[in-house]
Amino acid sequence: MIELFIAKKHIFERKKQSIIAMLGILIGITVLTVSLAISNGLNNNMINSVLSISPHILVGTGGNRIDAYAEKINNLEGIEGLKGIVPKYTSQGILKAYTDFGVYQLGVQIDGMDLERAKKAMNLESYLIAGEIKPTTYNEVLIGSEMVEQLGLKLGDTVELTSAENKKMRLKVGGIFRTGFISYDSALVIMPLKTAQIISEVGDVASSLDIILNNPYDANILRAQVRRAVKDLRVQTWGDINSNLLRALALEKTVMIVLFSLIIVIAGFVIGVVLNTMVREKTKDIGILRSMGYSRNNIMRIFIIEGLILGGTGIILGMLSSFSILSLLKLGLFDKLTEIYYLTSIPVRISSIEVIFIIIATLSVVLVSSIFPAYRGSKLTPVEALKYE
Amino acid sequence: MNKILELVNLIKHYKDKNKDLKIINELNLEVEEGDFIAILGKSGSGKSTFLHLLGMLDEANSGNIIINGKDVSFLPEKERDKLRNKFLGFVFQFHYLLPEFTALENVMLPALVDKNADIEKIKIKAKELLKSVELEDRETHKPSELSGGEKQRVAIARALINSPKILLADEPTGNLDEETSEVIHKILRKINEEKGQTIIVVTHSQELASVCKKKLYLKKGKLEDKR
Repeated sequence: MIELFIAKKHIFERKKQSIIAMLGILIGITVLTVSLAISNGLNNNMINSVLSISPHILVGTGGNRIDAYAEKINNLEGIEGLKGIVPKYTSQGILKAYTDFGVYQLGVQIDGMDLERAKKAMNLESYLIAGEIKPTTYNEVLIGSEMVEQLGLKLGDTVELTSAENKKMRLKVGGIFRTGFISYDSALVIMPLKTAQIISEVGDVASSLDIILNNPYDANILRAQVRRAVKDLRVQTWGDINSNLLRALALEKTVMIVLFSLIIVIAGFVIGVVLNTMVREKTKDIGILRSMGYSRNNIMRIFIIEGLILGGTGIILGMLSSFSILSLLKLGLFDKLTEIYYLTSIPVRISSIEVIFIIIATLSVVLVSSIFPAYRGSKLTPVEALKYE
Repeated sequence: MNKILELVNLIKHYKDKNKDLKIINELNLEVEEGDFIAILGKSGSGKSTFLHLLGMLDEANSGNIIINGKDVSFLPEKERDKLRNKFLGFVFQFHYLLPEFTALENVMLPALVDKNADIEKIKIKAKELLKSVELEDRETHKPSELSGGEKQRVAIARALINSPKILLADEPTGNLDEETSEVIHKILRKINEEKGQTIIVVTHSQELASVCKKKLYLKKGKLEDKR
């Protein structure tokens, strides 16, 4: 293809400008792809942390208690897609720790759950970093790793828990968990349901039924079935519960895409400028080619191909550099940077659809930037071009 | 001899402020195959405009241009591009070689417009043409590495790559010294005599005109036999 041959010659002849044009696209693609992958990773991390020991569907009363919760569980159990149902009693309390350095106290959330069910449904054991879960040992609690740090506690220590009803109970730290979600790890105390019921003086009731699904993203689909099974109780999905957080994450991602896309738009504009200059410098050559019988379409194709070569090479190099950076991140080379953000590593998640979208969008920007100078070159008459000084 | 080109009542005028400048005014010409014609005239007499019209690089205001029996005056642009590629070869005053291509590539360029062209065959022909202008050892040289005369010889080889019916030359030696011009004159005469190539040369050089078989003078937009 002669147009490709001529386009390549033009590009190699103007190496400096070509490299600048390609660099623009390379930087734009790299910034956008890497940021998007990290943003996806962080969002995913955040959602996974939030969902770690939270219900995917929450069945509650909106403040009142569920008396016959066992019956409700029976009604729910036939629904397909449910991994488990955990009856829970949630309350507030003050935790007092007696350490070598003095007495410390902290306001905490008390989550009393059927630990046998929670082990299966929530994989509770996978979050334990010390100790074990004993569903029928009623004087032991599980506390978060951050709380351990704050209060200077260790496994086996005794703490005093005062409930909202001002009932005090001395409990042993039976396990330490880390979910990755700082609110849980710093302020949540997990205990057997019965212990929570006793300290709250409520009898055999639950404040909610936490439903864990095989796939959390089926929550909206299964909501109706759950609602039919529990009739008068309120049903909320994890999306409803965390709607503010999800909206914030979506907004943050949109703003980031818009801002970083500007780099690609500017890079596309640079290609347009380089081609425009090329057309001006090559005006006489265009006249010569036209005198040889090259058509307007031939001329237009030459400059569009030039734009696409510059843009395409920038995209390929940009993708290579993005994947190299992301691989280094995955290897944990920059994990030291994450400590202040309560992360063990920089989470990275590449979406193939987003990558394809970035490539198509960049090519479109490059194509649009190339069309104008290419058209300008092609509309010159042979005589105009030959007489150009 | 076959009539290869005919110009009938060709008119080209430009508007300059309120004046209507008739550069070519009802010009008539018949060219036969194998002709070697010099078009002479003063600077500004319209010689280049005449050649641009002939070469379908510019459009006349009225009149007809008949090439090889086909009236090309009102053909769509794409057709004109094709005809220009197949039937005409151009040599300009300044070599107009593309700077980033080698001599061989420059010669091949007009033939590569055809998508189905056999590149190997074109290359062989381009090499033969470079040899015919005694530049076989300069194939890989870029224009910046060639002398003025060499560049013009490459331009002649390029103009001949598609075996055009007519070779149009616009002051081909206008930018060369006497000795180098002599070489170009010889080449043009040789391709006319040996290959029967029809050549129309626009020039103000009497030396070049003396090599041609026929001289015509462009005066007041018309061609005349006498000075």
